[in-house]
Parts: sequence; structure tokens; C-alpha cells
Amino acid sequence: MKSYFKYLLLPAFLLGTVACDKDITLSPEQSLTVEAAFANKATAQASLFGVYSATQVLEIFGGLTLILNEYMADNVEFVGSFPTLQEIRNYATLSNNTNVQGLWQQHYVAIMAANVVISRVPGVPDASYSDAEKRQAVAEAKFLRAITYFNLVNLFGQPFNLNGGTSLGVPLVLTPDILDGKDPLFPKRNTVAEVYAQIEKDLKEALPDLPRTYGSADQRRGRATKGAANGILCRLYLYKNDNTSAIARADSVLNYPSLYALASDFSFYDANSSEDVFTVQMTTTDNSRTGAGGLGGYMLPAARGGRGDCPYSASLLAAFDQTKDLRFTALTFKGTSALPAAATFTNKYKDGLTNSDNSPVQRVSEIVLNKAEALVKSTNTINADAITLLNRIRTRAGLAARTAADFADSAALLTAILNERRLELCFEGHRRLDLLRNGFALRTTGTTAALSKPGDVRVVLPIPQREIDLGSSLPQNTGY
Amino acid sequence: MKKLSLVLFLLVAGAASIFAQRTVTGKVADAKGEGLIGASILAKGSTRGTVTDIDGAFSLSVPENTQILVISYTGFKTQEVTLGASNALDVTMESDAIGLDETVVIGYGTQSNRNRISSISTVNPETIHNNPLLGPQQLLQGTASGVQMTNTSGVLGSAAAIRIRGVSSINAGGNPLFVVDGVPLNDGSSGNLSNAAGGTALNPLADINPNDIESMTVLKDAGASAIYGSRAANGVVLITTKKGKAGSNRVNLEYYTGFSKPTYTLDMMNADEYRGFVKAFNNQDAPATSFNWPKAVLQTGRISSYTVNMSGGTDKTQYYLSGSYLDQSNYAIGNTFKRYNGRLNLKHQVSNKLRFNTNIGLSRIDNDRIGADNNTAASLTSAYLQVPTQPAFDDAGNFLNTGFIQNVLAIEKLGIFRLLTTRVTANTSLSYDILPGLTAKTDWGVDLLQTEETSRTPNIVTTGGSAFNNIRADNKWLTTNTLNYSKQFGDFAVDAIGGMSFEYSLFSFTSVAGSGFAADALRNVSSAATPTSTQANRTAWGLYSQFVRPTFRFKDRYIIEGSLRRDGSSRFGKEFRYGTFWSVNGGWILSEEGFLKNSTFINNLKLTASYGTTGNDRIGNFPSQGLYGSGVAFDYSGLPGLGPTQPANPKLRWEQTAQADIGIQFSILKSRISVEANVWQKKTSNLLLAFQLPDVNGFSSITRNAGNMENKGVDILINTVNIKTRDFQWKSTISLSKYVNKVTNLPGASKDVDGNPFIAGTGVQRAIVGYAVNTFYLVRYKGINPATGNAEWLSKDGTTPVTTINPADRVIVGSAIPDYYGSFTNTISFKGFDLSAMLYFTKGNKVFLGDLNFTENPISGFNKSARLLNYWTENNKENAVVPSPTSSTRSIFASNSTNQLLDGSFMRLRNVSLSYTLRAKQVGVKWFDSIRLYVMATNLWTQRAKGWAGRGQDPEIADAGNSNVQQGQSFFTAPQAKMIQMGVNVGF
Repeated sequence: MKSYFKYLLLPAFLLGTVACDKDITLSPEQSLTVEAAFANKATAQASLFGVYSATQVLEIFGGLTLILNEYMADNVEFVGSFPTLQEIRNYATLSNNTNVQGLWQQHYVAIMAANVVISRVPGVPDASYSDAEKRQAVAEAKFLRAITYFNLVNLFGQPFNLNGGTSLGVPLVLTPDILDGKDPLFPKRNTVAEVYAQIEKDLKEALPDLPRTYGSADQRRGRATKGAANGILCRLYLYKNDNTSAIARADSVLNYPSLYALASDFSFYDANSSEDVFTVQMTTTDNSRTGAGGLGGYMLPAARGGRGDCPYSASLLAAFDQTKDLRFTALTFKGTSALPAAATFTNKYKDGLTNSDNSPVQRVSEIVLNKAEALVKSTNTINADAITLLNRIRTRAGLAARTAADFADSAALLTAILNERRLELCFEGHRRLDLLRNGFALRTTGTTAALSKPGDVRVVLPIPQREIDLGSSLPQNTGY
Repeated sequence: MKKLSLVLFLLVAGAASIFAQRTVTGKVADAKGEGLIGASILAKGSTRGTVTDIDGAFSLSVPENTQILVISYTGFKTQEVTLGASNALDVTMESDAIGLDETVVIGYGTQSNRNRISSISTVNPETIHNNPLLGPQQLLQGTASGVQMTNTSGVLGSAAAIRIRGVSSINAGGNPLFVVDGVPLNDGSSGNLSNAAGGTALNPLADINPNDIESMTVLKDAGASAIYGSRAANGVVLITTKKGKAGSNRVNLEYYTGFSKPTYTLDMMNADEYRGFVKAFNNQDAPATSFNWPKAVLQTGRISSYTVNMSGGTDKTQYYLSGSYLDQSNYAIGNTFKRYNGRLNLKHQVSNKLRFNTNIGLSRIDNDRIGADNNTAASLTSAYLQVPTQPAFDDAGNFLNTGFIQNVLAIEKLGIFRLLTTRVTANTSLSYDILPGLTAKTDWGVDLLQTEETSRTPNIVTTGGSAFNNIRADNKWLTTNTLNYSKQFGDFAVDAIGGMSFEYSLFSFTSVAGSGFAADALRNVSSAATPTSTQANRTAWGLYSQFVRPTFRFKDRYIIEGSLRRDGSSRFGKEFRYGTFWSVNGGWILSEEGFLKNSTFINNLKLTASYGTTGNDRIGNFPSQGLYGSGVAFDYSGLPGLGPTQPANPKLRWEQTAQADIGIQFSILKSRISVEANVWQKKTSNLLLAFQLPDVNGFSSITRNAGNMENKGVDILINTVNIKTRDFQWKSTISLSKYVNKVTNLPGASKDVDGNPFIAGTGVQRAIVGYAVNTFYLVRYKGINPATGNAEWLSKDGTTPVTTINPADRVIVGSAIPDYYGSFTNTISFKGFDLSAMLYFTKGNKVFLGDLNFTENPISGFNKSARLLNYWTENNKENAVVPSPTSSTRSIFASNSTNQLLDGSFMRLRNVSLSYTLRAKQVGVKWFDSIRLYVMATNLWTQRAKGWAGRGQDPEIADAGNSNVQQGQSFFTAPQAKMIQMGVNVGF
């Protein structure tokens, strides 16, 4: 009997030895090949949404860009513990700063994702994917590429107005070479003007193919529309001091009051209302959180789930009428900072735990203030229309309206508009560029004030050392 | 015709003789006449065998024609005894100090140490016996030459960085392949087994009870390791568990207990010092409160271990059964490790020709983690960084929320971070002797590994609380089918093994997370108001292999051996899926030659040489495909998304390491001195590189085969028996290893300012052509200028002091690879006492302490090292080590430079143990066999290099265990423990 046991050996041996090539032909289960990702309409559209998703990250619209633009200016204090952010705040940034490195990297990840959509969607072999749908997908990707470059060039290049954009900006990469199997790119830095021109080109090319609106509120505010493209163009022209164009683009937005209008009170944050021109959508499950940080994470104190890293600065507190201004009374609270010490925090972001607050890229208030500013600059007068626009913002904030008599000259009106802009858009990442592009230093008090004029070394970020180490053709910003 | 008759006659007689039996009885004893328990007796040329009982007695039924019995026992020379007419046989065994006749485990088999011509290191039972048995990896430090074992961290359950003969790869992982009883272990190559932050990986060997280990063999040269082909470039560690022996049943009980403290801790500022410092540097008025955080988290660690095992059997069936429980708490709160093990090893002889063998190991680990080193929730890291003016409790005694550096006391008291590991490593084989000398074997095995990680952050730390639950499984099955042929033709002997194996491993990951809980007492994610994450992933790999290894011996003194393996792996693209690896080695046992055979001076002399190739496949599961990922990282506003995750490289193929080895083994003076020395060279080509790309490409790296690297070195192991009398013995072991690593070519890589191609590993380490794979590349720190109070660094030419850290001034400043490392072990035995001590040392390696970026940052928001109090003032110019409070350099003082680079050389008393063994015979009782009492100490004494005092903790550092380009870097690496253990072992 027991000698039959040996026959067990035979099938075991055979079973063991019949393994072959197919047993070691395996595929990933959570990923598609690049070809499969552009094989039909469904996957191509998903690849487009992947570009939106790429801009959600902490380093783009998830909070870091916005925070740096505030830290480098005068609206907030730095009380956090991270040396990398502190360096930037103190204009002591080194080129190996890991926040800067991450910021640079993630912007180009998003740009690459957009580049793939732009180059591959037109060739998707799916009869049910209409040309109009394909053109819209390409237009959305161009919009996203434009706003990502806009973010990036404003952080790494000196303001356009300093010298007409002749400073070095960032390399323009418009094709997904590595994913197409080509050699890696070692591009040179384009000038700020060249980058601005590409942004303008992308937005203009996108405009005809973008829809006016979408069916649901989250997509209406969170996906590319004609309004959003015009709104960004409006900001771009204002930054370039092309005020006539800025006014025209502002009107292209404001002429659709059913879509874009100032909200009646300040409950519009994270609400997808007509106040929003473009906001990046975040939810509790789909947000910027790649580790620590995020809008609520940075701005809210520990008691509300955040780090308490950036409370109001004394300068911003002094700028507000703390009893009358609804933007202060409705959007501010007291708490304990990371120091720890008593401090005043913004209430614009609510969720420090999961960072589910939508990121406000552009609001109607900004368009209104853009137009007011452009009107004064283009006419050099105490422009009545500008005052009307200014008063729309002030009235909503519970402040008294201004009249022409309040202003000695056009410069005084411009100052009032810029001050109003500060109060309206604080904690939304506008302050640094608003000062620099108008020729102002980022700070007026303290030891760092002397380092903060437009054109100074550390009012822009350094090209990450890794990038310079790997590609010698990339010159560092002077002084780093 | 006559001849034919003779042949027929012999055949018939031979056949008849199979049925005739005789029974031999006798005793096996040592030189003192003491019976040896468990000595093995085998009828040569058959599978008949038994082992001696408690008194050394045996009884063995053998075929009538059996002429020779082979008697072997660990630690003694194997004897071949010719049977005479008598059935009674008493054997006296001769002690074998150098283990010449030990059987050593090699890939897919065993070999007599005498005939071994490949380069291996073995950790034998005696070494295992004398070590604190916390984990199997500990056995590799100092005991095996050519093996560099560095504990990555003092966190319980963390892995060791093990480098066998240098660094054979840049990006494809550096740890060896571990094989337990023929089953290659899962080691996280498909994905991490825990979320815990920091470099500290979980230990792949944590599940094994070191008490169950019979031996560990390290395959070092290609001759030994090429049989493992594509996974052997980093060397292979074979672990063999204990097997039962025929004879009476034996029971062994072991208990030990002990306590631990960190070897070194950091000296941080107290509240008063901190207040004074931030006033001086930041003009801040820190609160008047104070709390000593480090004191609050440090404690005395405790350890207890309980083991019971039973073994025995008949001449047909043998078993080994064991169970153990280890309970360990660390020197800092929040870190405990409980391990439950069970094992059954069973052998059964079904018939003369058919046998089966099964090994089943079960384990469960309950690991309480509190975030690993690189995490501000790690208790000790957090305690160092938390400002000392921050109290932990309010006036009412409630926990306070302490902001970004969380309140670790609250986390530990109210939160959960646990990792439960369940593992089954088992295999069963069936062997059949087809013909005399020809055996077929089929072996089926599994390594089923599951971890469940539960995190629950309490309300005081994260408002509303948050939780996640991750379940990961790494399940492997494999089959190995071999034919083994062994035959002697006169002076000519042949051993050969050939076969195939197939391995398939499926890794799965399921995770849920949520936030917003009604109460801290609600433990699970299902109680959360907001589910924040749902994930379920799988990934798999398969490996199909064929292999063969013939060995030829002539006159037992000329040996030649070859091995060949062809591996097909799912990890590579279709065209480059198969790789062939091979080796040839030869050996000459000179001491068997006539001119030396009778030498009284030279007892053994052997020369060996080998050359061969091995590979490395640890680059993830699908590195050659261009991929678009899915899931939460790519969705947008409820719409499913896809995004690019990996560029394609269809031409990706094996990284290959060719190794040459020349060795000499000799023993002299009645084997009182034995030496094994090897010189080796490894050349790795087609390096699997995460080829770094400028980020503007949208990807940070692409995996490519590009480049060459070279390691060369020497391993020396010297064993001496210094004094040997009847009652007193003193033995020494010296292990010394040296290697030089050099990257020789990196085609297409970016070049540094000096024109040297490089691959950056971290911000401070690089693989640079012409230098070591983990070369530190930093700006040199000069010191504080007494005149100005500024910190100064050196410009690239080394002459000009500058007050900025300019990346263009970076230079090569050493590497993480030591000039040499080794150990010196002494064992003294006197009657029943054994005293053993091992000194371990490493010399010339550099260590980068990333913690100093934080602890020595004068303007950070964290607590600081007390060393910073020595800052420059008008009254403290010459001795200041920190810039003045108004210096512009204060904000970059702690940025990366050689200021954080320290000499990593150290020497330490790795362990010292004293034991006393009482034999039942000495006291004339029978109810037990022996009792051993012992006390052991680990890391009792450590000598660090200059510059560590006040700045660093333990010098044994390997923050990223498996990464080759990030060695010798620390980020608050938890220090090693200083430990004392006492134990008792009773054998029945």
C-alpha cells in the first residue's frame, strides 16, 4: 500500500514543472497603460479629470502657493515650526528648500498631465467621442496648463512690470516627451514675458471651445469655463499693466451677472456660489492632503484641527476697521497660535482636519477690483466707474461708500483700491504680487523690509538645487 | 561466461542481502567518557539511521551487508567506524574545534564542510546559544565575516540593514534574500507592510523565534549564491530550523527577563534655558510654564521571554515542536512588542525509499507603535522637539493640545497605533529514491503574511479624532522540484542537483480611514462621521526558474562545482524577461595530498576559487510599463480620474553582478588555530537605476539599466583555541572585513560641477563616478569666526571662508562605507561556567545627523540642543559654537553642511554573557537533564568617535535600511538599547 505513495510524487512533480510564460505575464491592477488611458472617451475624459486632480495638491492650489504668497508679504505672521517655511518668510531661502522643490515638481507633474491630454485626446480612436467633446477636453487642459504656469512664473520670476518681463521665468514644456518614449528634456528658462505669452495663448485658444457653464454647481465653479478663462486673462493683463485688455476681460466676466455676481454676505467661502469664478473643488475624501498642511491645516489653530501657523500680522490687523468691517467681524476669530500665544485667525477656511475647503482661485470681487484698478491706471483720473466698483465691495463689507471728493488725485484712488484689495483678498494669496507688480516693497517695517523690494533676490523663489544639479542649462535666480 | 556468472551471483547475493538484518547497539561518548545525547548514527550508503539517547546509547537495525557506520555530532569530528563481527559498538568522539566535519546548509541542499569550496559564513548553534535572542538578524552582527549588519533603529520590531560583501546595487535594494527551510521570505518588495513613517522598515525576520533556529548560512560568493540567480546579488541568508532526532523525547524550557535603557540620549534645553535663548535670538517672551518632556517619555524597558520545545521520535518519525512568547516594552513610552510563535517540524520515513518532511512555523506579533523615528508622533523625537515651556496638562490635570508637535503623552494614553502581524511560513516535501544515489523531491511551500494596522488619534490631538485601519497581505506560494544524484565511482565522486521552481506572490492592501468621533472610546473607523479614505489594491509577481548544480570530486581533494540558473520574472518586459546566471568554482584540499597528509603542523589546508554571476530584481513589480494610475489621487469632484504615474521602459532587464573569489582555509597546531580568508571582487553591470530627471519632465525619475559599479574586499575569520584543558577552555574568534565600493560608470547621468556623473540619493548623498555609492557631498563647515560671531563655511577651493552656504561650494567629504569593520569574541569555559564577550567595531564611516537641522536651529520653533547655549557674545568669542544672536548666519547655521557630518566609527561591547550549566549527573538526580542559568548584557559599553557628545545619540545608524544611496543618515534615529537579561534553561 505505502509504496503507492511514491505515485503522489509524479503529479506533484508534473504540476510543479508545467509553469510557463503565461504564469509570469502579469499586469498591474490599479493602473492602465498609457495607450489604454487614451483608448476611448471614458478613459480620455478620466485622464482630463486627472489633470484637475493634479492641481488639487498641496503644492499648487492646495495651500502652499497661497501660503507662500502671504508669508513673503505682510498679511500674516509666521509662527510655525518648519524651518523651510521660516526661511522663505525671512528671505533666507536656500536653493535646497524642500517646500520649493516640492512646489516646482508638482507644478510640472500637472503640466505634464495637461500636455498628454492636449497631445493625445485628438487621436482617441472612439467614434462616440465627438470632435466638439475632444476640443473641449483639450481646451480644459490648456486652461489648467495656463493657470499652473501662471502660478509658477509668478513665484520664480520677478514681476512682469519690473522690466517688461525680461527677467528669467520658468522653462516652458508643452509636450509630454518622456511619456512618448523620447529623451528627457533639459530646457532653458524662458523669460517671464515668454511664459506670460504662452499663458495668454493657451487661454485664448481655449476660450472658443470652453462651455459657458455646466449643469451642476461644483462643475460650474470647479471646471474650466469661458468666464474662468476670461477672468484669468483679466488678471494676466492687469499684471502686465495692459489695462485696456484687463477691463475688456473683466467685462467679459461681469457681463454675465446670472453666472457671476457679488454675494450678499460672506458665507460664500466653500459654497460654490455666483461669487466664484473658478475654485478648485475639495471634499473630505478628495483634497490637497498629501501629508500635512492644506488651507485649513495651515491657517486654523490646533483647537480647530490646524497647525496655527499663520495668524494675522499686526500690519493687517491695523488695516482693518475691526468694529465695522464685516470681513473682520464675520471672518475672524481669536485662538492660540503654534507659538503658543493668543492670536487672530481667519475664518475663510473651516476644515483643518481633512482640508475639504474649496480653494478660491478667482472670485468676482477680484474681477471687480481688477477692473477698478485698471480703470484708474488706464485713465489716470479719479475715475467715477472705478469708485462705483470700489463701493460695491465696500458696501458689502458694511463700510461707507466713497465719493470722488474723498480723493486728492488718481494716485489716492489707486491706493484706496489697493488697500481695499488687501482687505478683501487677504489669506487668498494675492498680496505678494499686488505689492510687487505695483512697485511696492513687501514689508515696510522690521529688519527684513530692506530685502523686500521688487527685484530683490529673495522676493522670488530659487530654482530648486536638484533641478540645477541635474540640468546645467538652468540658470539660478541671481543672488541665490 | 564465467564473468557473467559472477555478476549474476553478486546481483542475487546483493538482492538477498537487502532482506538480512543485524542490530548494532552501543554508546557514543566524548573524550571524558560522558555520553553524548543526540549523536547521529547512519549506516553508510543507506538511509538507515538513529540518534543516541540521554546516556549516549543507541540501537540500530542495519542491513547485514552494512560495513561502515557514520557517527556524527555537532562540535565533534565525524567518524566512520567499520563494523566487525560484533554487534556491540562503543565510540569515543574527538572534539572538532573548527567544525570541519559539520554539515553545512547550502542552496537546495547540504554539504560537508570538508568538501565545501564556496565562500559562506555559518552561524552555528553555539553562537545562537550565547546570544541575547531578540531576533535572528542580531545573530549576524560580528559573527559572520563579510556581513555588515547595522541595526536601523532602537524602535522595537525595526529591520536591520544587512550588507553582504558591500553594496551591489544603487537603487534596487541592498538587503539579502532570506530563505527559511527552503522558502524565500516575503520582504516587502511589493509594498510596505506598515504605514509607520520614517525610514525604519519592519523586520522581515521578526516573526521567527531565534530559539527555533538550528543554523544560519550566509552565501557570499557567486559559487554559493548563483543557484539563487536573479535575487542573489546581495547574497543569500539560509535559515534552517531545528529538527527532531530519533530517541527519547526531550523537553526544554527557557525563561529570561531583563530591562533596557537607551545607550545615549540628547541633552536638550530646559525651560529656563529655552526662555533665555529665545529672548536672546528672537526677542520672544516664552511662557513661564515648564515641563520636562524627555523625562516624561523615557522609562525602563522590560523584556520577558518564555519558550518550551519538545523533540524526539523513532527511527522512522521525528518531530520538533515548540512554542514561545516574547513580551518587550521599549525605553520610551508607546512602543511594545509581543510575539507568539509555534512550530512543528516533522519527518517521516514512509518506506525505505520514500520520505516526507514538513516544517510549519506560525507567528503573531502585536506591536504597539507610536510613529517611527521620522515622525513627530514618535515619543522620543517629539519629546526632544516639544518646547519645554509647553505643559502637557492643564491645571485640572487634563491633557493639553500642544499643536503641531502633538502631545505624545496624550497620544500614548488615549490613542492607538498598533500593528498585528500574522504569518505562516511552511513547506512540505516528498522525496523518493528512484535508484541508489538518485532522489527525486517535490517541495511545496507558502509564506502567508498579513498585517493589520490600526491607528486612532484622540480628540485632544485631532479635533473629533481620526482613525485608519489598513490590512495588508503578502501571500506567496512556491514549488520546488529537484532531482538529486550522488554517486562514488572509485576515486571519483559526483553530486548533482537539478530542478525547477515556481514562485507566485500576491500583495493586497485594504484601507479605510475616517474622522469625527463621538468619543475616544470608539475605536473603529465605522464610528467615524466622515469616511475619508477607502482603498483596496493588489499587485503580484511571479518567478519561474530552472537550475542545476553538479559537483565533481576526485580523490577527495580536487573538487569542481558549477551552477546554472535561468530565471523568468514577471517584473520585466516580455523580451527581457529571462536571465541566466551561472558560476564555476574549484577547490584543492592540499592537506589530503600525500606530502601533507601526515603533517602534525597542518591539519587542514584548502584553496578555493570561484567566479559567477547573480542578479537583482528588486525594483517593484511593473517597472517597465508606461502607466496611468487611478483612484483618489486622480479623481476630481466625484468624477473618476486617471493620471500618469510611470514612464515606460520596455527594454528594462536584469542588473547583473559578476563576482570572483579566491579563498584559503587552513588549520594548524592540532586545529588550535584555524583561518578562513577570502579576497573577492564584485562587478555590477546594467545597474538598475532610478535615473533622475529634471522635474520639468513631469517625472522625477525613470528606471533604466545604466552604469557599472565595483566592490572589492577581504573577509577574514580566525578561530583559536588558546587554552584547552580538561576543565578550562579559552577560545577566541576574530572577524575582520574590509571592502571598497566604487561607481565606475553612469552613462547619461547628470554631471556635477567637477564633471563627475552622479545619481543623487538624498540631499546630502550621491553615487558619484569614481567614488562610493553613498558619498556625502556637502559644503564644508569651518566654524564660528571669533571676531565677527558669524558661522563660516569654506568655498570650493577650501581657502576662503564664506558666510553663506552656496551649493556650488559642495565637495566630496567621505562616505557611509567603513574602512573596515569586525568583531573580537572571547569565550572562556570553566567546569560548568561559560563567559563570552563580543566586541564589535566599525571604523571610518561617516554619519549625517539630520536631527541637527532641527535641534541646532537657533531660530526654529522647536526646543533646541543645550549645546546652542554656547553662542557667540562679546564675552564668549573664542569657544562659541553657535553664531551670535544678531548674525545673519544664524538662520542657515543648521542647514546641511559638514557641520552635521560626524565620524561614525565606534566600538562597543555588543554582548557579554555569563552562564552556569548544571548537569543532572553532577547532582545524581534523574528528573531533569541539565539546568543553565545565565545573565547577558547588550551594548553595555560603547565608545563613539569625537564630536558626538552633546550632539548625537547612538552611533549605530542606518535610517533607510534597504536603500543603498541613503546609508549612514539619521533623522532622530532611536538609539540602540542597553539591555541586561537573566535567564534559565532547563532540559528534561
